[in-house]
Amino acid sequence: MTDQTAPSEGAQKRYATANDYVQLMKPRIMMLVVFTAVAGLVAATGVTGHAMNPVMAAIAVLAVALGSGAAGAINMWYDSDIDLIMTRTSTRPIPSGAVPREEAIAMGLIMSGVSVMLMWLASNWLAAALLAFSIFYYGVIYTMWLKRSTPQNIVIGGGAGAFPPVIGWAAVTGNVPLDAWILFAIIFFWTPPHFWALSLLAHGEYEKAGIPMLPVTHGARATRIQMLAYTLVLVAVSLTPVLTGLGGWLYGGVAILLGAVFLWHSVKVWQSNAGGPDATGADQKGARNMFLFSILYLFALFAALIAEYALPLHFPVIVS
Amino acid sequence: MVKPVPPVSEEMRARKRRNLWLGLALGGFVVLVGLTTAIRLADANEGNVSFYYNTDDSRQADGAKPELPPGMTPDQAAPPPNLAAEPPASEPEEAAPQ
Repeated sequence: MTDQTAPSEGAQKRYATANDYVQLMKPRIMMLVVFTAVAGLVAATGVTGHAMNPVMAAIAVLAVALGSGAAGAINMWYDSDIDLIMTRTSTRPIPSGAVPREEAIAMGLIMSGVSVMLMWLASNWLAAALLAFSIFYYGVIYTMWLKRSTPQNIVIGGGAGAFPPVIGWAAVTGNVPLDAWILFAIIFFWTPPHFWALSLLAHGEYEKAGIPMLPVTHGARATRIQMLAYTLVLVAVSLTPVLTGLGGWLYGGVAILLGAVFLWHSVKVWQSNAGGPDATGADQKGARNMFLFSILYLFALFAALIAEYALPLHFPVIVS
Repeated sequence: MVKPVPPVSEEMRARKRRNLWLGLALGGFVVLVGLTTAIRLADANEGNVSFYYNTDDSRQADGAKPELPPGMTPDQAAPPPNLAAEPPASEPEEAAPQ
């Protein structure tokens, strides 16, 4: 792993900027992580009536962001060899030669410790323990073990990205009831169709790097079938908050409407040849559209939940 | 003896920028720890949290006494006289010198 990570000799030496260190923390993933953690925090406050000191809540959210950044830095440190091989990732801070690997892992470990400690100080030990476990899940279980060993890597590894709303909930209440785990399940079942849509577009790159992504090991058709299956499960799971009372009319409406659109994208991709040898430009565009829509879907779903409790617009569908 | 190679100006600038960011991050961390500590201490004071049970809390609206753990008597739960909120009034004050 060490030899391949050095930047090419012909490349001009460049020095790391602040932006390189920001990129090391995977800021786009961090945004989604922070957003879903805030949703868990706001929903927990609305459901249980527990109020967290606003400054402590802001520090808890910052701790989640730092934890996400730490996991991203650990991931980039370990994957720098395959990042150099794949075109999409070859410009990342380590393969481009801007940040040495040692600095990346040091930053990841220090930020892990700082984020967990801040979470403990701002909330409670349970939220801190969940944050520590989610960093371990992403940095070690997913990155070091699953990613290079099984085509189910992103299915099981999706659990790491599903923790933020649970952490947010635990930060407020000190426990994690069923509603928190429903939010976990939504992100867990959202991850496979989201990530495999991208894999259909970049399976050649994964193959070149020796990563056993599902389109590489089982082909594009099997991947498209599984994407459809997971989308069906996701749409069903996304409606369970309405049954438990966590989600009201607004959430239910958004979940049904966007769920239908997500399902439509998934059926379209399933019927196409996306990712296959006979794929046309339109097929590949369909997979790209599904990937982009999946991001919007998750944002909108959790935004509806936040709006219900923060505005407040929560009107339960099932009144007990 | 090997002479150290002076860093080029671009490297120096990069180092300075990085040191500045590290310093700011460290300062931010210290501020956040201080802030959480201050808020926790303030919350603890507001909640009247202490080692002893306050068995004579006049702020309780209904006059109810806190529930003690099984086997603990009110005498055991109460703070010792020297830590009580109000000193016992039995001690007569010394007469001021004429």
